[in-house]
Amino acid sequence: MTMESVMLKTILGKTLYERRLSTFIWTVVFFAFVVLIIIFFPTLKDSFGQTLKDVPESLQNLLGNASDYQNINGYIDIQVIGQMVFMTLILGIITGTSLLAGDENSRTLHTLLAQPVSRSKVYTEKFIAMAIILAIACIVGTFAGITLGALPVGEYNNIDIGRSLQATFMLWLITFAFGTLAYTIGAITGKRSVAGIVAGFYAFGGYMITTLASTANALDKLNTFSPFHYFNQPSVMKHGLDMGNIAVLAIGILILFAAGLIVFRRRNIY
Amino acid sequence: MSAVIELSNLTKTYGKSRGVTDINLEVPEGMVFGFLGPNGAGKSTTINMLMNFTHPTSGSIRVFGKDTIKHGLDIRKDIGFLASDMALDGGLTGWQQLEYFANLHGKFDKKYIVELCKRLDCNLNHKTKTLSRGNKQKVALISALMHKPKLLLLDEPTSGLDPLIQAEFNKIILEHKTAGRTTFISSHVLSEIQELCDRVAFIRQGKIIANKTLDEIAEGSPKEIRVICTDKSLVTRIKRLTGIKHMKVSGKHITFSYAGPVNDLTHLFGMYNLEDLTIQEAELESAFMQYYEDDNGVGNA
Repeated sequence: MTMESVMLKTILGKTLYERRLSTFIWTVVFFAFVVLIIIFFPTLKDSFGQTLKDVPESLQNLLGNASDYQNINGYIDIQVIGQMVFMTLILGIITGTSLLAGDENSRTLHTLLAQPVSRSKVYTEKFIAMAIILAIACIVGTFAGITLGALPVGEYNNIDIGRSLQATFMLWLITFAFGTLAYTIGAITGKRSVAGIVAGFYAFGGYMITTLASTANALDKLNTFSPFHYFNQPSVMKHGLDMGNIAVLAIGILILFAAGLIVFRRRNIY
Repeated sequence: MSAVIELSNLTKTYGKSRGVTDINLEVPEGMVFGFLGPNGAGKSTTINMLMNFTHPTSGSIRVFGKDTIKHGLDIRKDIGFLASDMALDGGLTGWQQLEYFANLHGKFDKKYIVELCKRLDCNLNHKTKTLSRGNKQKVALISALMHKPKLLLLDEPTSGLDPLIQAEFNKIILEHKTAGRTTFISSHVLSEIQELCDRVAFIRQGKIIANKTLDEIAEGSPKEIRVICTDKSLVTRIKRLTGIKHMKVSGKHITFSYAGPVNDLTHLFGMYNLEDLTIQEAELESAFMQYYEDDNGVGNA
């Protein structure tokens, strides 16, 4: 029995099979970006570090402070984990909107639902497929980029491998959270565009609020609703995983998953 | 014969818009049942509810005696569904698409798929996104037939198929019927319905306006009459008959459709010396036009 035949046995397997090329491309793109960022570490270590000493505190929250640029782990924290999240969120939202709402818009969902499969099964297996696709791209792509990118600049031995893995896990978790939001809105409305717009605005708004909240106390309450508040704060590269943050994001994902499932099982599919 | 499909007081509305209104319909086992109507009449709305894609606003649907909402999964095991212009997974080849659906059904009869493939002249080795509309429709048709379902639910099944494949499709449907299985065909292709169906329901503006066998339709529908007669007074006498429509006179040739009593017509013709007379039995098209003329503002049904 071929690999292809095995994958076509389930909705999960078929979804992964169908998306194998795009998943591979995203993973390679993430890997290449991270390698590119790491390669610039020796150059930025001195020049950028010195420049940041003169930057106001509020801007340092956005860019990182000078001491973070003096070692590879601080650099990974700010430049890799802090910047790659914008790219991984794009993948998360695209994947979240396309797997269910996208299929509904192209009417392949109707063809699938004409087979003897329950809506719960369709919803759950596609959701698991999203988790796997995002894990491959976010964790494998980014982690491989960090470790292999450090080789040519002679920083491999200085990298905290365990913390890097933990940080890429958090990168996956927040990407998965936004992917789940897009997936759920798509499951509830059946509209890919609505799901993408809402998740995109929430990501942008959440990021702005969390960034500004460090200097504006008035935003503290609002900040608790921003997923970024629970991402890399405190820095995973410095302090390791924060179980409280993981729990909040995981519970948010589960609530969204359940809400989407309840509505998707009952609503009309036009 | 038990009813395979039972629609009871079925109503579907979309906000203030009408979908279908108070539909009652039974489709007995082993029958090829036609569901006819113009675009927007409510055919697809009904099919979507039968497939449990959408839910009725009121009323109920039972298939194989089971409620479609509560037992949708069980019911779909025995249904083969085909929509017009059915969307397939573009990244899969025809074979992969069929293998995937067969796996979801839990039955993969490769031999039967190959047989259907040969009969419908279908190449399954290309990705479905590269296929023409007709070839996609063939793959979709095989997916509906491959598990030998008890009920075939077909929405505009032959759209995109060439005449040779349509003829083979008709054979397959009649074999399906011979095996005691049921087919429900929604269409506005009258020749297809006339050739295949035992019984036809007509839907107009969301309501069933007639539900008849083809014999009953022929009985009540206007006949097409063609007469050749040199006596011009015949035209005036014909116009006085009840049930005359679409009369055309060209020299000694007179054609019209007639839905009145046959004796009145034969009595009239008996008084004249006719050169030729042709009485053609009503086609389904005549019945269709009769039922739907009002929609187009052509005349009265």
